[in-house]
Amino acid sequence: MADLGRFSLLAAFVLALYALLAAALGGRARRPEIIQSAARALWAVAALEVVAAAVLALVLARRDYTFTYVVSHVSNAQALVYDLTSFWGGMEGSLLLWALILSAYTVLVVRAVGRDHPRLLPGVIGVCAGVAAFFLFMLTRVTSPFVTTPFPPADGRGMNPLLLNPWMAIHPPTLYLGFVGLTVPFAIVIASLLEGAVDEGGVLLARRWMMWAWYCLSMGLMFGAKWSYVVLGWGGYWAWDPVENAALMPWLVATAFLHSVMIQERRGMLKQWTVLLVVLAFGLSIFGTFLTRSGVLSSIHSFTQSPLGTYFLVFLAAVMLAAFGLVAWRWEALRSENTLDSALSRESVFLLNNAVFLATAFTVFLGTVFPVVSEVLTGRKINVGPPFFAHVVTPLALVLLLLMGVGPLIAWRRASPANLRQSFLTPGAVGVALGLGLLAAGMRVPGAVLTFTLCGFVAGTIGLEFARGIRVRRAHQGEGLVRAFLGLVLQNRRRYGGYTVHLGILLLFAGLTGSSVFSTQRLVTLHPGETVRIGEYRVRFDGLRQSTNGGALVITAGLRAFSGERDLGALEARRNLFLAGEDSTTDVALRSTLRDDLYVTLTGWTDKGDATLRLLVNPLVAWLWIGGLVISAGAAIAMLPERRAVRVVQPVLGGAWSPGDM
Amino acid sequence: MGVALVLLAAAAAAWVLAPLLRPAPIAGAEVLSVSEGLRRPSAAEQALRDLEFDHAMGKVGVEDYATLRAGYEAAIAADGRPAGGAR
Amino acid sequence: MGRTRPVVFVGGVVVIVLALAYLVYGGIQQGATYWVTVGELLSKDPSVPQDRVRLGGTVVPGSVTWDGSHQHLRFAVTDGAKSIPVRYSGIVPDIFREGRQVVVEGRLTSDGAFAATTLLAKCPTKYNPADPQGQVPR
Repeated sequence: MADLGRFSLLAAFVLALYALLAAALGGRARRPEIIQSAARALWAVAALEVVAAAVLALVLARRDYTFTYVVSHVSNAQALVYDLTSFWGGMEGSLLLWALILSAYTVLVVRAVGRDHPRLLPGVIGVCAGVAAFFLFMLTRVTSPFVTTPFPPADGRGMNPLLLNPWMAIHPPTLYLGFVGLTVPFAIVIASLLEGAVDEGGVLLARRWMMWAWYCLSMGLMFGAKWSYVVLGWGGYWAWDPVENAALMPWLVATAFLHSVMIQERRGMLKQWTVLLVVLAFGLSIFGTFLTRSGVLSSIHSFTQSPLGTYFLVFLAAVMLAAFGLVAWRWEALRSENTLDSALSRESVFLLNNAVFLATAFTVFLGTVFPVVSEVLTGRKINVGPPFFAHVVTPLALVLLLLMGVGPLIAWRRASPANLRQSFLTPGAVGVALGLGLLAAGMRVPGAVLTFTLCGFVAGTIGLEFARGIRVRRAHQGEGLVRAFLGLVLQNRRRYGGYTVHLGILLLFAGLTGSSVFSTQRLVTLHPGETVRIGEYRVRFDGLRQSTNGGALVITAGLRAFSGERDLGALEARRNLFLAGEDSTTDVALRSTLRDDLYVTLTGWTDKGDATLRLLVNPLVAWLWIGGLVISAGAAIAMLPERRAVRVVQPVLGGAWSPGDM
Repeated sequence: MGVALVLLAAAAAAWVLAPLLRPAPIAGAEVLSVSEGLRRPSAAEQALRDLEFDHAMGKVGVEDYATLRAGYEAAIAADGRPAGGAR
Repeated sequence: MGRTRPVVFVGGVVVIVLALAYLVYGGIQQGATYWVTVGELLSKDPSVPQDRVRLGGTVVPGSVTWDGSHQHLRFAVTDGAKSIPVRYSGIVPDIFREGRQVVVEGRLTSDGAFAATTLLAKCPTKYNPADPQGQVPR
């Protein structure tokens, strides 16, 4: 078994190198048969990786403790489903998953490119093969999943119990679908640059993949936040941790791309900028993988040099140098004829939006690598924690919120005063009214009032876009209200899918503001029967209970929540003490409504049956998760392909390098 | 197991290298077949649709509308001309 | 991007960069904590920062006392050679244990103990897919 796994990966590595060489040679010599051989090699790489993955999955399911990877992540007491999801729980398995996803994407994109943009095929194959070769190199020479031990133990260690949770099970693969997805637009752009310049067809294809990668990153980030909130028990969902930031940075750059590409498609402007964004996004995805894997910034000791980290950094540096060099070489070919006409136009708003996204990404990057940079510059490692990020990112985020409202409504090229008045008067009034209303209701935190005012403004602009669109359709086609709405959305999927995503972002902002600004906390020790007040709730502690569950001793605090006279029901806050390994986890007592979350954790107890409880009331947290769903729906709408029934006569030429006859 | 692996490896290598053994195609290749089907709208077609929509919603000035529309229609016409190679 | 109006464009870029620099500077002032070691703190070297510091080390076995009714935690942290007593009040993360690695943020008090405002414990495994384990907000 181990031999099969190792052999598969080694063979895949050799074939990936071959594919890279063949693509380079075939592309230069313009020999389609060499390209076809390279494409076949990548198919074979995919098949071999599937074999290796199947081997790993099998030994995990069988709890074969001759494999050290299995020993580290599986135990006899662990549920089978988590034995399987531990595939990506450790470094070796997650690198294999990365490579596997890349192969799947490669197969899809090679088919699409071979059919529609055959001139790009050598470049796309070459880049995909090169990246695959790196990961396969790591898997064969540095961190093999198939290391065996001659003395298998009777039981494995199992995963950290914090990971035994559905959210944590799907969070890594979702994020990887996003990270790896950024490789494809990168490959397309590099191939286009090698061919001469980036044409519109290439941009369209790159944009579709970028949209998918963005969607997966968004969902991955949300799952991680949900896990952090529900499982880790500290009451928050985002800690500006290096590993979290590692996923946020490419997400920010991808979002910037999705906006700037609209300018490129409509006005032919910003091509140089858009190309740079694609390269940067890919670089950040590799950097993010490196951050999550090498633990260099999570370590509490000074900069530890693990060999893994060095390989990643060298690969990243080489690829970035080559890519930026290529962009610089083709710089003039990417220049557009169109110029920015007015500072008050959709083009300039989008440009500003991009600048702020990049500024935010840069800030997150700076804050994340600050310990390393400061140690190099000053000799002492300095950390910048959440206050740094909050201080810098909050104003930037508010600017983005404002632009999110202004962008869709402002005119192209040059906005006239009439256009401005017509578009922004009503939404502006909505926002101001909301702000004044909140002030009147007693809200005094200026940042929160401003945020909600802007949210009102943006909601007004989105509503106006829907209303106007429906009105136009009804005027032209005389449709009923519902049909007009459906027709509007389905025939302008990118646009209205995008507006739906904006709506989801709005809900996210509201949830973020509510829970970070207006959260209240109490830390108390109670005797059984005692009640504590927090916010408008009263929580009664009914007593402690001890039980066992699997390999864990469970201490449960029975609670009952009240609001005024209303009995809101029973809640349980638990601590699970795992007998092997001395780990423990917390089960949060959570009562979530649209208004706020009542969040209670059991942090300590005495022999006499007293419990130390931490209680939080977090307003508007539910809006975060609802916002995530809305974003998901909007992205799905936007990604649905718009196929037109255009009868196309497409000559298929002999000698065209398409892998069609494989 | 070892024998099976070697055979598998040989088969894979053969399949991967097979295209190299075929003779190279003639330069200026001939048309082998014609395929009909659906395709997605091109970038220019999409841009034109979006422009019409924006114009109906009042986000494009009259002059700008005319200029932009002319540009997109020219791009679509250029795309439609049959190119020498496959699209 | 073509021939944009250079003044407006460059001016805009300058404004953004300056604004960002201002924000970043303020943020660093607010959020920076300095890493120190046990040895450095005990050496009473004036160049070693004493306030808003992060101290990393291992929890000395047998040094932990926990007052449940007031949520007071006392323990000692060591770098292998020397150790320093720590006082902490607040939530103790799940994975805090004797013999495990820990990071505390706070300041060195005049009586030689470390007053911690934040306590972070790190899992001993080499690879942590999600880091905020045991992180406690301020």
